[in-house]
Amino acid sequence: MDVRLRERLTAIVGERNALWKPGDLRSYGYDASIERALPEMVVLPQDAQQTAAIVAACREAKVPFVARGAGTGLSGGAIAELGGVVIATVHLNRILEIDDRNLFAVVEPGVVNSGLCAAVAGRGLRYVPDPSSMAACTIGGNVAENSGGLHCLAYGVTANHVLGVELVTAEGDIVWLGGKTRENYGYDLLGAFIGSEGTCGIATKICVRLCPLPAGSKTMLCVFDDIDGASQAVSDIISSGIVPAALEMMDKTATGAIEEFAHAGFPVDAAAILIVEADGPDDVADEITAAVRAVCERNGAREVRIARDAAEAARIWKGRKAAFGAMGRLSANYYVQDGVIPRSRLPQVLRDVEAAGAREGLRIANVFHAGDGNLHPLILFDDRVPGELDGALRAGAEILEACVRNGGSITGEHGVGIEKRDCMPLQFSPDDLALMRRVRATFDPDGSCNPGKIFPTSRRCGESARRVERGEVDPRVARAAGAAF
Amino acid sequence: MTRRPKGIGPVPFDSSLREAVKDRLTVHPDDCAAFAIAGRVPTVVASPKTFEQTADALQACALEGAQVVIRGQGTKSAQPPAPAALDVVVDVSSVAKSIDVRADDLTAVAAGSVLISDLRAALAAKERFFPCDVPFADDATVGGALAAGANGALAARFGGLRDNVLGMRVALSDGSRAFAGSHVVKSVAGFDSHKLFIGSRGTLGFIGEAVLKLAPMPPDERLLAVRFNDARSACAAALDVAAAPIFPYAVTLHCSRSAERIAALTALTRTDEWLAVYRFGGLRRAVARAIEAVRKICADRGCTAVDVLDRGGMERAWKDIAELAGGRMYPAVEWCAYRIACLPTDVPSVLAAAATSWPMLEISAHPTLGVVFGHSPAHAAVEAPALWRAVSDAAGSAICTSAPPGRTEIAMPPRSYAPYALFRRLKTSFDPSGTLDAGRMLGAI
Repeated sequence: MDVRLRERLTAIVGERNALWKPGDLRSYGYDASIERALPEMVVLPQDAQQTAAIVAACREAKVPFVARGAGTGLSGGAIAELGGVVIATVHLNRILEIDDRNLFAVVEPGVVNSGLCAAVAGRGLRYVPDPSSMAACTIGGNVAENSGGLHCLAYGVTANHVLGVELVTAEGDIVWLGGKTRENYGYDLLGAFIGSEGTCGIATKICVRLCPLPAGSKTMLCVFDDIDGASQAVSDIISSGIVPAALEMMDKTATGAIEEFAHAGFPVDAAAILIVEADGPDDVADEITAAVRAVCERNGAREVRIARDAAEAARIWKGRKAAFGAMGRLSANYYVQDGVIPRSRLPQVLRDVEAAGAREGLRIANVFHAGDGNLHPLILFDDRVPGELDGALRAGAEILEACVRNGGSITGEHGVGIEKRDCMPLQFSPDDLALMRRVRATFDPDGSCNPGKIFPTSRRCGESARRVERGEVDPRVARAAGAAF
Repeated sequence: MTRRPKGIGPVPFDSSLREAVKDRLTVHPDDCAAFAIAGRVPTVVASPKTFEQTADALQACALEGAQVVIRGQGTKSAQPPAPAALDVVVDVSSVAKSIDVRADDLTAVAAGSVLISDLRAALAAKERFFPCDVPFADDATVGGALAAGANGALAARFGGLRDNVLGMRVALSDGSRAFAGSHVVKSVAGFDSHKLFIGSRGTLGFIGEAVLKLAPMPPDERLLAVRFNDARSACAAALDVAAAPIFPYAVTLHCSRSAERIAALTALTRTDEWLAVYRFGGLRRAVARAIEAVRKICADRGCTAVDVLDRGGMERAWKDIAELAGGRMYPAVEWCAYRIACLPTDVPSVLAAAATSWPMLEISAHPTLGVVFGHSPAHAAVEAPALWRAVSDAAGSAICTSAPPGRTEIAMPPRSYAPYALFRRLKTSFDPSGTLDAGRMLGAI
């Protein structure tokens, strides 16, 4: 990196908040995906003004920049694939305002999701989007990825819970999109910004909507000996008009690993289980659970268990949240997919997932947000075995093709990032992508803001992953190649 | 092809436009007058029958530098300001209508030309509903409602239009066609470009088709009407309810003159008192519990009367209530309509300022959303600096949503801190020739 730029950025944030030695950069070279690439410098601004000054300096030097929260992303969105500067929001971690009459909070982007939830719970409120990584992931990252979570079935995803953001634009200006009020007049740039994966600027303040905590909830465990029966039950629950707070599904491969790891009380011999949460006072939640029980029994559930108390419910949910971690018991590596399908297509697509794994000789564990039709097939492989990674990538691509073929989407909550950018043409025509480029150009005409993400390269779906880690691409060369990369 | 200067007429590009819409052009001034936009009459009205024809028509207009307004049923045509120039109205009311209800997936795909009333009927037949209440529901089209971006009171529970539209098929003025968003309830693949069209007033492109997120028809629905002596107590009760785990579908508030327009509730209306209306839906037991909880909160805040309407009564009342938010209750030939956004806690001060500075204003509000609707007989419209000051002090904003043709708009100036530079760049990016209704978006964009 140019020394003058390094010195300029160091002057903005101070010596302690400017990292450029290779050893210091290492932990900023990865996220929770399988992508890897080292930035040339990392800066840790303290406020919006510093962030704006950093962006302006990078733009002047024609060096790309990438915002980074906790690095929990699953698609390589925070990876500085083309080198440049990582702007980490670790110091932007203050909860600035909680308004329990107008039901909003203003936070900085580095606030951890669960930290915000804890801060408002004492007032009888909650911030609803609850991704599985909520104990570590940040609100800024959630906004960039439009994160979902267990409860977005009934309450919506991040985009439904953000009222406004203070934005440092790609040109280094500070503006507000939306605000604290529920209505704002003019173009809905906020709607387009949320989920733009850091390619449209950096949020430095976020105004989120808060909701009252529910009066109570009941958690159910529905056990099936037949995976088709479980997936048909999901489809029937939704079509019958019942909208539980959460509706999750796991197959036998997943429950077996989780049970060994988390001791959640899951039956390890069942073909599939559903976890259902019903919100409301006891009698209301009882009415919902009774309706769900009827649907499940009609579809061959061998057991429907309702958690007797909060401790048992917490144990069940702990098991669900431990699913990805538990995969280490089954294989050295896993590759998680995130496709979405219309819920009525669930039985068919689950069969397609199984077939994709079988074709590559790889096991696949299914843990997913069934109520939303958001699949998370975990393709198990061992990176040390020649060919297994490539097989996993091929199986992943095949699963995404099945999702799109059935009218769905290549990603429900993990984002496109690097990992799925070459799958975008599966879902979108060149004209559709051109429309997205117009949006991108609105926010970032020079393409300096998290370049290389979302838009497809010339490769095929499933081929992008880990190009940089494999040494195929030198970041400086890639950057010189520009948008063609 | 060289573009002509903008906004000059008569339009000399008859042949390309005529070809695009297969001869469905209206040019006689008397016929064109029926398609006036905020009082300005177009030179030509083009009536495409398909999405493709509409895209071709827009492109033909753009290449000639014509100024175009896309018009559905014309229910929002009275919104000021008048276009500085208007050559062509592209009347999309005849574009093919189709509704594909995917009841099992809680989604529907509707052509932009479909009437909201037809959409509702199709969904009701499958025990589903689109949880956004828009004014002019009997006449407005899906595309028009989305382009107007007028959220209703159901946004309290279900979110606004942008929260319930999953995708769109659009055509831009350069003739490009694209799909944005997805067909499923959850997707983060690429940008949510479709959200930009919601509330864009047709200035970015034509909404040919929308993928809608549906809600199941609840087993039970009821309406609770509560009378208060003053707006402040009614607002305080509404905020108490919003902060409790009660989750009503919607809350509205009405001054007595506004309340008198709700036929199903006239018995409860009293001069100079305020009427709060709570709409509930869900399982029977949940609805009963919620009503009891709200009754108690309202009693604690000093309400003076309460009534509960069953589903039939609720439906009758809601038909009127939705129209009080700027719909058919106030014909634009006689009324000026304003929509004010502020924080929910600032609604009482805005209402107080309205009462003192503009006594003829009829008021409705969505108190938990921080939205106030004011309607004034056009002859009684006044400059109201105290009202705009109150809105401004509340970090709010206001727009005029309809006015009699030719009338100068009376409204607060737009906020200075909106991201106008990005707005302008978006407009240029989507409508490079500036064909689509230029100058009428917030900030004269």
